[in-house]
Amino acid sequence: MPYQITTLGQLLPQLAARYESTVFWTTTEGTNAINEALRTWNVLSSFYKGRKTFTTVANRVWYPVPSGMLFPFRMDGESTPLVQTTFYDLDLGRPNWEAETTATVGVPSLPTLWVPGGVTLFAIWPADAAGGKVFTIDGLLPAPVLVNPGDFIDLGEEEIGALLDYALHLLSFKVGGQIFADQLPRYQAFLAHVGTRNERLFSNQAFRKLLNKYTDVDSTPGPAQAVPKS
Amino acid sequence: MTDQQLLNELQYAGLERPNNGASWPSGLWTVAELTSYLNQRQRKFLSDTGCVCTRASIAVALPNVSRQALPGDWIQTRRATWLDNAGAYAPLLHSELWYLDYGMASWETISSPTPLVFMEDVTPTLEMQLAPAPNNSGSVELLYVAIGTALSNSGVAFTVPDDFVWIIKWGILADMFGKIGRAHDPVRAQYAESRYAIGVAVVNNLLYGTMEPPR
Repeated sequence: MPYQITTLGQLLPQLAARYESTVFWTTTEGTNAINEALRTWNVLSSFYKGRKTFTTVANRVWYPVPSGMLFPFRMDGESTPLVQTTFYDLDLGRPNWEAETTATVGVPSLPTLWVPGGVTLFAIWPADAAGGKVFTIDGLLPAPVLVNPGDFIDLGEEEIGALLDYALHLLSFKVGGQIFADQLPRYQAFLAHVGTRNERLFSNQAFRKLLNKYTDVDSTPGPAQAVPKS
Repeated sequence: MTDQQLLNELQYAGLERPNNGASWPSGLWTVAELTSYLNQRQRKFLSDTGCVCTRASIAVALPNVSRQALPGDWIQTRRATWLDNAGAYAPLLHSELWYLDYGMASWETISSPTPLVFMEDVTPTLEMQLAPAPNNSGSVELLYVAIGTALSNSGVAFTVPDDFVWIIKWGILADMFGKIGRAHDPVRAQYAESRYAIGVAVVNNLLYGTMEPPR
């Protein structure tokens, strides 16, 4: 059930309270900053997840990712989960997999594997010879886009601070210079908060090296400990 | 999200009057420059992540012809498969000339009903090479990354999902503030470029579990 606590109309004054309220920033900029913060949050933490369905077509291997879904994580159907695999595994393990259907001798009677092809396509094996079966996809959904003041932000109150940190940091970019540099700790705080929701990513050394361009990342394993660069 | 919406945000970031990218009164940037930044960064993002794939079928009608034309909007191949006339698929491994020259020295003189590999390292642009050359007709089923929709300031939607457009935006900001001249701001340009790099890494981690897409 989505959060219905804070609306865009309530959040914008909170953001405006953190910058000088002259004509330097407009409400439109504030809204854009909040929407970008939500999208950044979503991509970094895979926060907005949901469920969609697709119906198999007879003998069809390739399907588009359902509209309104960013990337599938998991599929199941007919009381059975499909195992995610890779093109590499399928091509080397079963070279003719694209031609096989549930009616082919020696293959399962239900699709059992799925493989993503980017964010827009996926393939299943074996293809459903009969068609008409409904499968469920759990995946990442796009972040909500806030337009009207009455639009609720689907985010807990405990996350709003981090969201505002990022938005304010983003707004300071157009100022540049020392003011922008002074707002970098807000971006680092945002990352530290997001890191608690995606510890696998933030524990990845290659990713931490990238972050280290502007953040001194704690060398011990675990979520990024954001420390402003001296 | 459309190109106009992003251009509006870029105008805010560049202290320009927001008008969906119709003009840049400061003279620091031009409409043509921003159009090129938009398209270059979207293409670079598509190349760096391979997040949007397209399927195509390349008909191989003539036997013993190893080099085949790729689609005109091709950026990179994610996967290639040989489909013969009987409807059987045979995956083509991505190889290089070095491996063939040392592993199958006579590869250029032999042919086979089913090619084994495809290469792109020594072919002219927008061509791929099959080895051994197929001596039957068939088709190459291609899963590839395409260039993407041409953007300008006319309200065209991005090819990449809206949730990834912020990454392209940071890349464009890096281009804007990296421009030599009055707009040059190396601190913000470097920061924006690092944000683009981090965004690419995050998307690759989401799609493939690694910082870079598998080649």
